[in-house]
Amino acid sequence: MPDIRQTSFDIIHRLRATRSRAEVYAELRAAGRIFGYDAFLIGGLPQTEAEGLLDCAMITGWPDAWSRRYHCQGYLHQDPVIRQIRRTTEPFLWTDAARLHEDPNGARVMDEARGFGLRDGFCVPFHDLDGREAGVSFGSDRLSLSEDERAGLHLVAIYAMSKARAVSALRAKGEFEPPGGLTDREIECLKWSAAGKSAWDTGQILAISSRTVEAHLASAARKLNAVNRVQSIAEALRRGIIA
Amino acid sequence: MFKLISGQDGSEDPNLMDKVYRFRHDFFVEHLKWEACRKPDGREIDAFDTPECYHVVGLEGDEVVSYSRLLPTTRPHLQTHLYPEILKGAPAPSGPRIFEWTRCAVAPSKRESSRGADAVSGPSFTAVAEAAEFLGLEGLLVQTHPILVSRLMTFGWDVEALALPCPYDGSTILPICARLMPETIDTHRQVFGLSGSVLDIDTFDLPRRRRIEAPRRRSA
Repeated sequence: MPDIRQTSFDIIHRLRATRSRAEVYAELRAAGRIFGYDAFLIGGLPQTEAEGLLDCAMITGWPDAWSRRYHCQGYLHQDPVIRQIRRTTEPFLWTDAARLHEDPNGARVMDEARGFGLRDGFCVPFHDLDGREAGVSFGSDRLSLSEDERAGLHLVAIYAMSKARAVSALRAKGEFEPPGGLTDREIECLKWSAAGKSAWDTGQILAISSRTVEAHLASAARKLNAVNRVQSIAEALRRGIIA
Repeated sequence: MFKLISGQDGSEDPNLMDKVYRFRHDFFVEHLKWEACRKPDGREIDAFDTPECYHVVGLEGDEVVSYSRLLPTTRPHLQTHLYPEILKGAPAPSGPRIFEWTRCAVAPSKRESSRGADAVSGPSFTAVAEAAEFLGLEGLLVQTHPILVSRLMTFGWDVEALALPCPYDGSTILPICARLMPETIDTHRQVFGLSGSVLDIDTFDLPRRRRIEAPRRRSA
């Protein structure tokens, strides 16, 4: 494999530029060909009895048949991977979780997963300040990760989770409107402008000339059909391009 | 209440700095068992506590309850001088508007659970973001556990990983540059339910403060 460090950073760079669930999904699909996983799931852990794993899933690339089976059988309460997420902050292999939480019910979940092409997996746990847990899990028919690949996939999982949360939050707010073709730099200038910074201030912050800032803001105004900066900011706020 | 104290000003308030160094010793040596930092007088001070560093101190009455230290990257700092191997040869940003966030601590007695949804942790993170903005910083270098990396993103920092996570001292560590964005402080306030500023800027010695004047290019 070529330099896995660089490959991981390339994936992260693309993940950071994603703006929708579909784009995050596509990036993770593509990354699977590099790291050798076939399926992935990004989701929170249910905090109440009434919730299932799929209710809390943010982005799922899991086999449908397995998701349905898992849900119907209530495997959430037996899955050693779920139990391990709740007790560690370090990434782990599914097979290691199964060894740590050895019991017949857990073993049956792992056995059945194998039948759906999920022989082993790599899971990155997340623990929020408010006590909520979440995880990114990568499953495969044949998973073999070097130390560097583990570290790379760990980092990919962190950025995938962050993006999944961000796009889910936008969806929850009902903001589906595309950003109107604004560039990242134009959006950044608008944000600083909305924060009360002058073109000169913004230029200092972004290490570009104030004239360039003015040009970005003018271009943003055109794309937003705004006649001045105040209207640009108002329109960008309304469309959820800036918050 | 949170105070921002420059290393220079700290020398004029030896009582407060004494409490700060004792708090650091209690936390990092006694609680986290960083034996290499143990000092016979119970005050954890090192070569990086210079007049050029900044202390963000959380106080409840006279008691220190949280702490963070900001080190200038234009001088020796931990990433360059203590564990450069974490970067695995990758370049790290530096310059007058990049500081390094070290020695982040919240008094264990103030943390209601090990997961940290308590009354001090949130404001102490917010105080660091406010201090960074007040000092006109562009971003902070941090070497931390990956779990904190996703939290910083949730708090509104733009986090750039500088190297892959690696095992360090029985845990995992990752060097990052967390950049202050226009929405970073508001996001902190939303996440932690804060109505306004937590950093008591009035106590900062205004005539003698050294705001960073000369911006440098990001790629510095």
